[in-house]
Amino acid sequence: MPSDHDPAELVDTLAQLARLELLPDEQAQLGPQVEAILGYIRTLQGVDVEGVPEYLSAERADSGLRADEPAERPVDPQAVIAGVPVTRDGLVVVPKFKD
Amino acid sequence: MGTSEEILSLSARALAAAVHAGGVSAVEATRAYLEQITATEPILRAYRCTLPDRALAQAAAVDAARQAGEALGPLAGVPIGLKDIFVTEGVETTCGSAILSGWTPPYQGTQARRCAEAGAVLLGKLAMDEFGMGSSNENTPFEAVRNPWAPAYVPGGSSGGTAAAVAARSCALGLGSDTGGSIRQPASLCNLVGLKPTYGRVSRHGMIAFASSLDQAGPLTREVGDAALALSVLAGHDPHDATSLTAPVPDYLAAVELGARVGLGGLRVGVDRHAMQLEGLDPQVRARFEDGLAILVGAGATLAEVELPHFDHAVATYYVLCTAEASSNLARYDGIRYGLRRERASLRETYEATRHDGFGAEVKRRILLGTFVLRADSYADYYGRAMKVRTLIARDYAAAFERCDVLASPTSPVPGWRLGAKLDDPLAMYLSDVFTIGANLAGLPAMSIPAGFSDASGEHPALPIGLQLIGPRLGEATLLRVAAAHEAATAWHRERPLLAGGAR
Repeated sequence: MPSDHDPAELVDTLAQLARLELLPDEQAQLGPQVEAILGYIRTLQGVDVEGVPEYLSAERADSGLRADEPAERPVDPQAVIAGVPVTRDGLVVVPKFKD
Repeated sequence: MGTSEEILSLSARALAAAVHAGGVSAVEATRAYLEQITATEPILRAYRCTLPDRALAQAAAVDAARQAGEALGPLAGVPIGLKDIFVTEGVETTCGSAILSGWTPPYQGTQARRCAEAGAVLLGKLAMDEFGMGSSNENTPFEAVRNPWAPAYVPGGSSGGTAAAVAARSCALGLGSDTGGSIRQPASLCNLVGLKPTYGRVSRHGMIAFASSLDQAGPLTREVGDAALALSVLAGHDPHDATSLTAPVPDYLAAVELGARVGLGGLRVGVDRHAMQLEGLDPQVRARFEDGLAILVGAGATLAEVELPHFDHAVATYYVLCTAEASSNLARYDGIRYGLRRERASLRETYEATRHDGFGAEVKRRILLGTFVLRADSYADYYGRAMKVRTLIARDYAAAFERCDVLASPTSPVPGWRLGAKLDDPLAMYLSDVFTIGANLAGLPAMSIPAGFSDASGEHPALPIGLQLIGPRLGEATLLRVAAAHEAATAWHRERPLLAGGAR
């Protein structure tokens, strides 16, 4: 059970999974807070859920998917690109990640 | 034509009627509200941005349409504010976060579109807790919002800016969002009506996602009739939201009339007395709640005792599920396609640095929690288990509604608190959602209505206290009827804070 983990170590692992950089003082503060909240959440272990299905919110007769057709009100590609932090020739620029 | 004070004192419904009849022009109404924004914003900081030129142009268009004899929409000329979680084309939308600071949406969300099509005038975007995560409007890289009733106190959250603006009369009606209580709790703390519809009743297309199975948009208003009017504009199927319900939209205004004029003969109001034993329930909140029940009985309702056996597990369940969904929804904020980017040598470092600088502490905390509960070795014990407890909670409400027509409880266990008082203890903040969370977990409609004030003491000023009503699925009309009956028998909704010209 993950409750044996050192809180700081746990937060470091989770931050890496979440692609979130944390400074040492943030890690030091978040560790005990996350541990305290997880401790509270663990009270759910005491609930009898034998035979109980996971919650399903909607009673749907269909899948909810639309027909594979263009949208009625298409978004202007120029307006979308205008919001991108770094672009070149209408393309999204990212740091090189592949040789 | 009406002084600014007269215009500001009109409900949104009355203002719309006056614009339709030509008694007030949309431009006059908009000017009155813009002046009120100028007067109150230095104290409240409710608005993230204001749009005076755009608003006056929209108002002029409404007046021109009326002059030309064209049909006007149900919100024609009504100056509104939208929580900054709602995507507005061409208008900066930050969702209360530095990671979206400066982002101008390239499309219009359904909520903003329906309000615009109804003729509403958009005054600006309203401040909020970052990504909807918070109960005090202090989780923000921008300024904290103040409660108009007591500016050293929080307005509640995450729709704190909306609540503050509506209560201070710096907009006639506002939209908020509610994932665990974020419409109802600030409504309670600011003496307003706040309505969270049934899950799926209002489209989520264009509402920036926090927890997709819990989020709903809804109005914050001064009067019950205004909430009914707003809901009638917002509700209804939207093909852009796969969870949007196709159920027909009833006449919500008729439900308000029924409650106000005919009362509640035979309607059963359920109370879970076990929940009322909550440690930390302020005695004055309890007292106002009992007063509220007496008013409903006076209006013809009968009381019924019900049980919600899993009530004590709602907060834990919610903080597993909402953090899991949030960690997934917020993965898109990576600095690449929109918002803040902190460029680094590698893609991964760019993600990490952007998310470090762009997210506040509460958002980081919830992302970490959500990441934990969704890990393969945690899933069954945390997320999977919480999804089963959620089923049990939903069944509890369904069973309760066999014995009553609406459920009543306090909205918040305490009145508002001083800014900064709960920032060091996130768990204490989470526990303040204890009464509101269940309706989100079960997908049920719920409202908070004004139910009085705490007594002023040496320590605290008089602060608003709300009464919560929860209805069965698609039971908004019943909720509005009960709320209207309560409003007809009380005068809380007519109170105004000092900075809106009132006596408190």
